[in-house]
Amino acid sequence: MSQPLHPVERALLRPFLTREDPGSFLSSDDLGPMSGLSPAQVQMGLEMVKSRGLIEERLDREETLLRPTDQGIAALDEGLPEEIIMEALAAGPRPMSDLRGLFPDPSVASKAMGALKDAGSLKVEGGQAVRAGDLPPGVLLLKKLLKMSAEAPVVLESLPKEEQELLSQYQRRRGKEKGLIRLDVRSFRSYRLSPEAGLTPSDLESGGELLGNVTPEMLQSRSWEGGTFRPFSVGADAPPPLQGHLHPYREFLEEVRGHLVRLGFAEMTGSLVEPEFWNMDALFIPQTHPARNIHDIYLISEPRLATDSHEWPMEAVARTHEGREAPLPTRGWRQGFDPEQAKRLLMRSQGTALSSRTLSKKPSVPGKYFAIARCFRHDQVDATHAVDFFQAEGIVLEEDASFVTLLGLLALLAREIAGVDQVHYKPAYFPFTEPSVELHAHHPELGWMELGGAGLFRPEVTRPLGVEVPVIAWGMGIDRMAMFRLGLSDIRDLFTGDLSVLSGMIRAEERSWAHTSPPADLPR
Amino acid sequence: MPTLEGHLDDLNSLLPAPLSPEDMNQVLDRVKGEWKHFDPATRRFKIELNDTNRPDLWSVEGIARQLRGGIPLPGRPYSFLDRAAKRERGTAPDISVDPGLSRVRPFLGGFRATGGTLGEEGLAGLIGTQERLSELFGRKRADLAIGVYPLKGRKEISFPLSFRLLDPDTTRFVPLGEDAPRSLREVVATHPKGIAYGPLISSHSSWPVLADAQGEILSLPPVINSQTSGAVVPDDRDLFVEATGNDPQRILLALNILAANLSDRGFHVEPLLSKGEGWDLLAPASPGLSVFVPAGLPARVLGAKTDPLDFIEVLLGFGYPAISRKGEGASEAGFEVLQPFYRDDLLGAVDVVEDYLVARGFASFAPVMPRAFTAGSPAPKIKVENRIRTAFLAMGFTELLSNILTGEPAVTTRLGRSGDFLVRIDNPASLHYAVVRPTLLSGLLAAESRSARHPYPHRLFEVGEAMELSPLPSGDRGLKDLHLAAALVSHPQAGISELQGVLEALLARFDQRLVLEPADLPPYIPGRCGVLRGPRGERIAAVGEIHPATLDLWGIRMPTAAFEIDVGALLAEEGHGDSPHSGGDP
Repeated sequence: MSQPLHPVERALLRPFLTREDPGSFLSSDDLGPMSGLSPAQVQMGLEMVKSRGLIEERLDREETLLRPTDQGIAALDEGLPEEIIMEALAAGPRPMSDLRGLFPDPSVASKAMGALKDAGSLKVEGGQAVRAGDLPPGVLLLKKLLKMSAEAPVVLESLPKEEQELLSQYQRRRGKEKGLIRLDVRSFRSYRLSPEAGLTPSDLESGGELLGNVTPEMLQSRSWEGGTFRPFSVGADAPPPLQGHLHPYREFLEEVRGHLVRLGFAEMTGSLVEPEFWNMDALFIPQTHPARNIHDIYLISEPRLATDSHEWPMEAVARTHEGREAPLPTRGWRQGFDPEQAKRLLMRSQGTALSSRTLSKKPSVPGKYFAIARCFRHDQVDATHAVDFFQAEGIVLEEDASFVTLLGLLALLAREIAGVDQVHYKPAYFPFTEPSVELHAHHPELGWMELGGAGLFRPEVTRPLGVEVPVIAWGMGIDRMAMFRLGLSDIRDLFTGDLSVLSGMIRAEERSWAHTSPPADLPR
Repeated sequence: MPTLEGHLDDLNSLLPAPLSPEDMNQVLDRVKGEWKHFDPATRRFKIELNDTNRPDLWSVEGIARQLRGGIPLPGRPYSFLDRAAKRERGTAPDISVDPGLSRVRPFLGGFRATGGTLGEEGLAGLIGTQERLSELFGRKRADLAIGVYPLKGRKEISFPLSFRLLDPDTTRFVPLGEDAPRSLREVVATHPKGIAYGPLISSHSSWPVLADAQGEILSLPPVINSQTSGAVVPDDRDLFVEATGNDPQRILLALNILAANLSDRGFHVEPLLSKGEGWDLLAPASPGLSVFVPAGLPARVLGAKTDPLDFIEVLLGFGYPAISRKGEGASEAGFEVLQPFYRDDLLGAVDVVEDYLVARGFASFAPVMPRAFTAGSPAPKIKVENRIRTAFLAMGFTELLSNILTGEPAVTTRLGRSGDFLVRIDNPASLHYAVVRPTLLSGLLAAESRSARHPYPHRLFEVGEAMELSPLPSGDRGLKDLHLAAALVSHPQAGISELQGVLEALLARFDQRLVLEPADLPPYIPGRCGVLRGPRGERIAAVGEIHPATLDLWGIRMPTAAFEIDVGALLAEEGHGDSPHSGGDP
């Protein structure tokens, strides 16, 4: 024996070595009384000797235990969905929508109605559900098993063959963790000495006192001198530490923020609520633009209008919209400008609102500003549309900012933020920039994707706000990049409260860390 | 953004050399379009059009015209422009418009197109173009509506026409696709188009009707045509097209686009003159508008040298009919650029310069890296957030991010709090997102209620923005941005003292001390809640054990404690407090 044994290992191995036939198997249930160890100690000891290759393991049999789920226990009180439906139909036919209304989750009703229809217990005639028979035998059995298993665990294998069959069909339909009954598999195992280990009873001798944990007293008295430390099973499973995590999406945003700060951008922040003036008018979006329709923006009930409009360059913006000469030659939108509409308060619909505010506050030249702003979209919420989302965007004020420096900046952003080298510029249209460009990037795994939009702010935007130098404006959709990084296919999961989904995101982030190599140095 | 459907062979029939599907994505850059879908079996395609300001591109004909560089097809010149230029404005109008219409539907213009054939593809295209122009450019017909009629349909249309106001109850006609006459009011009340567009006119006492020289009612603009001339069919060789609305320039543009499209399909277009009180409109016609582009602008916008001759040549190839150089050498030197008659999107000189860049192709420009040095920095607010986040992380907490819009019950009844100071959305898309969150607690509790299967203990936090209403000196209520942090622990021994310790440690990170006074504040258990107050007695933080009744509402079956702190108030952050709107601070 190269390394001395731990006392628990000695206790566990003793029953094997003291038997007449040291090669025979012992079950874990036998080992408890024979070794005098507690069940937890037996488990720990088995792990230790297994990891050292001292014993072999054999799977004897498995049995499946039936236990009611939380839903199952609730169903015992309230009745199974199928029962509730059949009871509701006892008095006569009822519309399907009525039946769905009986359950907080309409999908429960749909599933149960489907099952009843398949079993011939229910018919649908002209939108009405009609009782066509008794409760299916499957439902009755399920109820019986639910009752039995609520009292004491039921072993699946001890049930008659037909019942086993019915139950496993039910489980296949419902999925593993869902439904009313949960099936847990329990394994029974036996162990014997591994012939290769060549253990002999003499290995059980303690061979003198071995040193256990290092203690302050031990160090004080130097009692460790000349002794041998008992080796610990270094490979055995360790308890996981309790750890906290920063949100992976927020961490992704921090990474983007870090890139932008390093590129010389200063961050802008602002209120979640903006007047249309800063969100739209100052950006030269015509007051009749479809994006200003009430089906596209969230308006605030109270207060409805901003009260600080006297501080805004309203007159200059109005003149520009109406095309009244000053402050620059523009044809304008050839329609009246309504200052009341400009005061209307809405949930910020684009981060560009922060840029227009910044432009009006005598920004530095040269200057770079960015925002990672929460924005709001009036849309049916689904896997690709979130009610609020983050937008990254920025502006660059520079005496000689131009279209080619805009293209250069976009290439830089694509490389720094998205880690892509291959980009393509497509002509685009935005009311507030001219020329406008869409940045498409070739992602190694997603293929070509639109990364963002950009352009030079129109003079109709900059001049009324008092800016005389050209201004580059850019915006990036960062949701999609984040979803890819975090292994998500549903945008709503970025803001999930489900801790298991969050754990999945954390794992995906950890995996993607291993796969992403930092981009190479930029060419000079 | 408009989506255009069409047939590749039809598109190719309007081009000098056919394009293959593989060419399309690159070629469509010139029209700001994206090749979205192509079915090789039917050869039908879908193109997404991104330029919402160029309705001339919202048709197969328009895309083909731009790709041809604005040049008419051989044998199909835009000679109607010359005919319009020659037409004497003083002559009797082809369409007279009643003065009373100025309050209802002020302007109408139209033209005849004869001697061509649409075919199935052309007719489908014409109807699609008409729809897109009326719906998108005409804002659901409020600003512009278009009618197309067979000139010699069930009954030949006789000129001159009159656009006038008639009584909605005594005036009767047969709406398109029906067989019995009904009053205007009945049509608006029952016909699908009447229900959709009737509200544009129904508040008036008399309604707009277009009638021909025989007094036959042709249509009830902007609602529906009559059955008099009937529907346009693929074999029709002669058409009458009209547009009504509030803005003569918009009407002229729409008619110019449709005339160009029909001319491209081989129709002979004949402009018509309409007159009302104090105005006349001849359409189609070139408005002759030009834009002055200062000589230095193209190079300044591009950021590289440009050649004046190249500028002219490239734009002529992009559909601009004429460009002249002005004041060479002088400070006000530049180019006078005539706008194509089918476009009206040039607001200023930069629009012309963009076309120049698009025509040259963005791929032909070498990107230049920005050179100016600027110092970057995160916002002060973010620095605070990150200090809080790392403090929580060190204490073993996991961060959550929740939606800022939420349902009202989540932040009122389910917390035992009132909704008196809620910021509400006037037009919510869903009741689940109808108010701006005033607290982060509901997000943490919602997470807890979904996570009973996740191994305990749960230690969660969130930092972020929220809003509430605050009383103003004027007596009104203003918006107040909140900057909050909240934490929650849930496990069998969860209690107030654990979180009090966390809150104390968090405050210490900002060199602040925690002095708690007992308070009775839902959703906490009375007697197990403490608050931290600011110098003016305002509540800065509250910590406590969540009341079992609240836990029950959220379906949480585990002892839970929480705290929330108003970080903005604690640190007296800039932009915090009653000034409702604070922007970026340059």
